Amino acid sequence: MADKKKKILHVDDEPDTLEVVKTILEKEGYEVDSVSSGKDALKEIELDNYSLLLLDIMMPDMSGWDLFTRITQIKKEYKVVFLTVLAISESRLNQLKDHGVIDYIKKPFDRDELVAKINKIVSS
Amino acid sequence: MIKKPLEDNKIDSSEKVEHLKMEVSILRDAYFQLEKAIAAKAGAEHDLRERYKELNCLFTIDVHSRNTEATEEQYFQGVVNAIPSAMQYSEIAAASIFFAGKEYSTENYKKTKWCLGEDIIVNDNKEGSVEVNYSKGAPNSGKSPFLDEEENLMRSIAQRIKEYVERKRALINLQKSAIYIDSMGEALMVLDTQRRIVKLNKAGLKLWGYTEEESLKLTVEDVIPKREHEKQYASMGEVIKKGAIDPFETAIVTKEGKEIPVLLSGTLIEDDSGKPAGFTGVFRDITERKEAEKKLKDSKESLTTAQQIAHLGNWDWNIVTNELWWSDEIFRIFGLKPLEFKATYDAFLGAIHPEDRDFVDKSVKEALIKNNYSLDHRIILPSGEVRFVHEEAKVAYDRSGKPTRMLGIVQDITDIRKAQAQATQLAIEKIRTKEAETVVEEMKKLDKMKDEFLDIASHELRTPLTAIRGNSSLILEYFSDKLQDEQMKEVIDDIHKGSVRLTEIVNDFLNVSRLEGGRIEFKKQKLDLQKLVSEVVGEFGNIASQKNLVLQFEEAPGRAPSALGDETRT
Repeated sequence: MADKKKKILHVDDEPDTLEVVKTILEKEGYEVDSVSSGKDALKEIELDNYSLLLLDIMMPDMSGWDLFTRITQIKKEYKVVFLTVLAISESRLNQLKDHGVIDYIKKPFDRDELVAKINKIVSS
Repeated sequence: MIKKPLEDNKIDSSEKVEHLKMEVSILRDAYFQLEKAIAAKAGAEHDLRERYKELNCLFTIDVHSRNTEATEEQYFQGVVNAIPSAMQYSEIAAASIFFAGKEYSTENYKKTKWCLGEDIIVNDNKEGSVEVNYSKGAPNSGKSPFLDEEENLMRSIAQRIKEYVERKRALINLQKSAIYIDSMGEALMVLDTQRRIVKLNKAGLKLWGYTEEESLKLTVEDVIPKREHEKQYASMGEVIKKGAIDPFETAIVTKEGKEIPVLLSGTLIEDDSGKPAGFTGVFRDITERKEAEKKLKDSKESLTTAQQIAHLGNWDWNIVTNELWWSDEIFRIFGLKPLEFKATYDAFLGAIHPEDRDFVDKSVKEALIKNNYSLDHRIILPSGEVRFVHEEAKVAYDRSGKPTRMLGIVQDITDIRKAQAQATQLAIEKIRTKEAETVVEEMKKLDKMKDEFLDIASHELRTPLTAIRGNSSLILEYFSDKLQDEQMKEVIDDIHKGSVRLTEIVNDFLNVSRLEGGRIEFKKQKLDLQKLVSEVVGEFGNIASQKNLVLQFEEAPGRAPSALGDETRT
């Protein structure tokens, strides 16, 4: 963590959410790129390598699901965590885990939970 | 007696002469008497011989007149030939008949003055004569050479000729009149009194298949089946009595032996004197009618069958006589037997269900004015069974507009009714099911709308809540050192706590709505209560310690009770 900061890409159409997550995670020592659409996210993924992708689901133009599907088509495996207001059932999550989704955090999130889960996933 | 005077010699000579003279006279008388007796006997024998000859002649003539195959010429020649032999002096006798401009005579005939003639009078007209004569004078000339008996004979012969001619003419008249009837379409047969066919018209020849020549050799017995003979004789007797009879059904048999049903009407033919001379019969071929009758019978049978299948009967009510005719099927529908039940309008009303009786009676009476009716009602069978029938009827009126007849049908619609009721029940159930389905559908839709609303609402609530909770926790975690003011710190803390509570409320809110929609499934599994409680205590232990409270869990000795539940929903 000292030499090179781990990079996280956060995609959400809500600027408030992007900002609070970015602030918290930067405080925790991560470098956070925040984008507000799936289209922008795909561009960033092309340019950079990320340790973790934080994806919102309910977004205009391209949903988190669609974005995730596109990502799995383009690149090698990514660690993905959905950060969403939607509830994802356990069975669904288990299915998603086979495709690179590690976990999901429900909004409004608990800061401790967010930090703990991300730390655990990135370091694993 | 005679010898006595001869033996008495005492009598004198003159007396003897006188006596002898007397004796001679007696003897002569006796001789004459004897001679007379002998002559009388001979005369009687002669007379008998003469009578025999006369009878023989008449017999011969009768034979000729009975020979229908002989021509008129042959007849007259036969008669004339028979006459001379009947005469006393037959060897010198000759005969001649003059009739209808023709003369028939024996070979040796020539006119002489010794002749006996008799007129032939037919229908009061002198139409000819018959004559017999001798070629020379008879031995006892001076008087008529003919005997009284011979005169009688000639009168008899003339009478016989007259009868023959009249009969022949009647026959010819029959045949003549028959010519006109050849143009008739119907078969006409003319018979003489001996039932011999004297004429069969063209249609008749065609019907029987005979030629005219063949037909004239037949009697009526030859052209009708044997079993009809008695009937035929009876009808002829009737015809002779009444002059004519009404047509009756009988049969004929053709030349080929085929039987044909016919309708025969007969009339009597009389001669000019009013005596029966023959019969005419008009034969109408009724094969088609018989076939039509059979077809009618067949179609009646098929109608009966059709009625049985359709449970439909027809009736005919004579309003004037109140006679009601029912087809067999109506009796069956009403559960009655034709012999046990006399159909009348009142009897019909009696079979109707009491609750429907007035209504039916009223409808029928209205129909008499309206011309028809169509209604459904109930009837009660003798067994007590109630059945539904459908009725339709039409009324016929006389010229004055008075209803005279009503024709109608009755159909047993009990089964149809049952089926209809079932169908209606099914339809109602279907509608109900559909309604229920629609309600469920509607509710599902509402539920979905509610969920969608809640989803949107929760999303809309969660997004700002994320910012509030995230930022308040951010301040408390990373910038608490900058919160010099204790009151400020408390405010931020309250904001954070409030946001956490609000998150829980929103979550619970959604859980409840999903529970209502049955979307939360609880798994039933065995729970380790000890583990569960210690976890809960652990979770809340931290919160408690922050408030300077101590929350502890001590395991009870022995096994903890187990329970079924969903671990994720504890």
